[in-house]
Amino acid sequence: MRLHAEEGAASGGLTGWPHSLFRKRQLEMGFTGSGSEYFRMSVVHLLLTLLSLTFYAPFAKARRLRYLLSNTAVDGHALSFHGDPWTMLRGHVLLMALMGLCVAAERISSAASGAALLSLLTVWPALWRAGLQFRLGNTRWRGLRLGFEGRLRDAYLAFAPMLVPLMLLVVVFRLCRVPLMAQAHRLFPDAGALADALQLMLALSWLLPVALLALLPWTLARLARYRHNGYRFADQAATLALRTSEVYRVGLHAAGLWLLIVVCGTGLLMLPRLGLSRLWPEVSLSLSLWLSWPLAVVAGIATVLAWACFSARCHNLFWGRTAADDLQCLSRLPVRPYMARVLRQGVLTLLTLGLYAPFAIVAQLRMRIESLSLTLDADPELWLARQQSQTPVGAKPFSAELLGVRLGL
Amino acid sequence: MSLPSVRITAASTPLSDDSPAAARVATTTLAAELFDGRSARAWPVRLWLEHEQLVVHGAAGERRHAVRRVVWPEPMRHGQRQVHLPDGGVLVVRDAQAWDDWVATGHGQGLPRRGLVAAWIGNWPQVLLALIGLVAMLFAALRLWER
Repeated sequence: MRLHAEEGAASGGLTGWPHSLFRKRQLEMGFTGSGSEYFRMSVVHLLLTLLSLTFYAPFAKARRLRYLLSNTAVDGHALSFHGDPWTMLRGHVLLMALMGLCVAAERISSAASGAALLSLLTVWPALWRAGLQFRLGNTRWRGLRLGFEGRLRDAYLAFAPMLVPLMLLVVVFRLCRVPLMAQAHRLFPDAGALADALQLMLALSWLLPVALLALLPWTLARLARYRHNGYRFADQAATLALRTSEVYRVGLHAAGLWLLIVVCGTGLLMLPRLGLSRLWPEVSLSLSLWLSWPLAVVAGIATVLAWACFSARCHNLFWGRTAADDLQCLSRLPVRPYMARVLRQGVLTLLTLGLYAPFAIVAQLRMRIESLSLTLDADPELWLARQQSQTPVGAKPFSAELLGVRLGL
Repeated sequence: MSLPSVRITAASTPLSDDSPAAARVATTTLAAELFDGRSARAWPVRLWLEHEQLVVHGAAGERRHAVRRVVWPEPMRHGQRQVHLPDGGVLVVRDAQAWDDWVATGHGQGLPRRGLVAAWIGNWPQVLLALIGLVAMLFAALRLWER
């Protein structure tokens, strides 16, 4: 990189090797998938997954990933997915077993359910990391495998801001509920006082989702750093230069947008009621009952728009700050058109009872992928596979390892 | 840089459909790009099927792979066609229509038929039947839930 910088300065901003044929150039990304094809695939996959009691799900996922990646091209060369669905089935069975354990434990006792939930939360970062390793290890561009090299310890640290409070909640409300209630009875022997204390706790419990929402940007920033810093391709190791405060700024912007839409929408809906309440109080009362539905719609629209805004800005932030030795990512996802599209497609999905969802997924994916480009400062033809991905000579599909078990997720 | 583990045969010059060597070729040849899985370099090659083998012929030589050991792409309308070779290489055909035409001529050479699910996905009336099946399952589940 330093050499490139020195050379760039010497050649008036142009970088690259002066004696070679290439110069710094931009690689555009494209997506050629179609909504109708994805719709047909989704319908057949869903039916087969339900009929097979979800055992078909890994095969469906492998076909879906193959389709999406073979339709994603970087500089005209499509990505490819080589994952073995039978290896993915192992991972799927493990997940099903964990979920089944949680459901079964729920029927036994609150403490058993708490223990099962706690174990699921404990293994979740490891499973997530194994899934990332598997998907990237089986994805290729120009024949070379991508890779993920994040450490297990860092996966737990990345999830910690959200995982620790969730685990504490499970411990308090599931594992220690009985002893805590006994303690409460001792502290408040009077039934009225106990009821008051419980009511206060219930009122305070509304703070929990707010607190978790406040922790979301912190967790997302940590997860993005963990994910992007672990991406590998050939000899290129990606890095993401991102401060947590930047994600909080994006989050605050989205929260402000939500509040603005809700306040303006509520104001507009309430205006006729205020006018009518002076003239005809009876009509105004029935109108306020009718207004509860439009208010819910306004809140729904505000949530969809705020989430789309947050997601688009995060996409630009995370990818725009990702670079490797000879690569720099650029992301120019237009935020307002993306929000408009997400809202329009959300409405269409609701109106068609979900049938439009595959078309919406493909359209949004196209927009996100085509907003990305890479600035390359090397000759990709000279890149070689990394040592570790060469060991099985690329013949066998990559499988992640979890506690010594090779599986795919 | 040369292709590793390449078996050079008599026909080591690039083939064209009207070359003398093409007379023994069972299917027509098809232009493709080969990525060997070790470097990101694209090798222009031509493919054909012969005695239930996929022959990959390029400037650096010729490779043969048993047809049944090759992972063939599922027929879809969009996207590039990617063939995964047993040695870790990937063949890419950008012209999807040319690939589909070539595959249509290759069934006599052991090329696998379209899978059941892939055929189902490619057929709109059958997909609509699947959709009706899904709706029926949804109603049945709702009935069970009400009981």
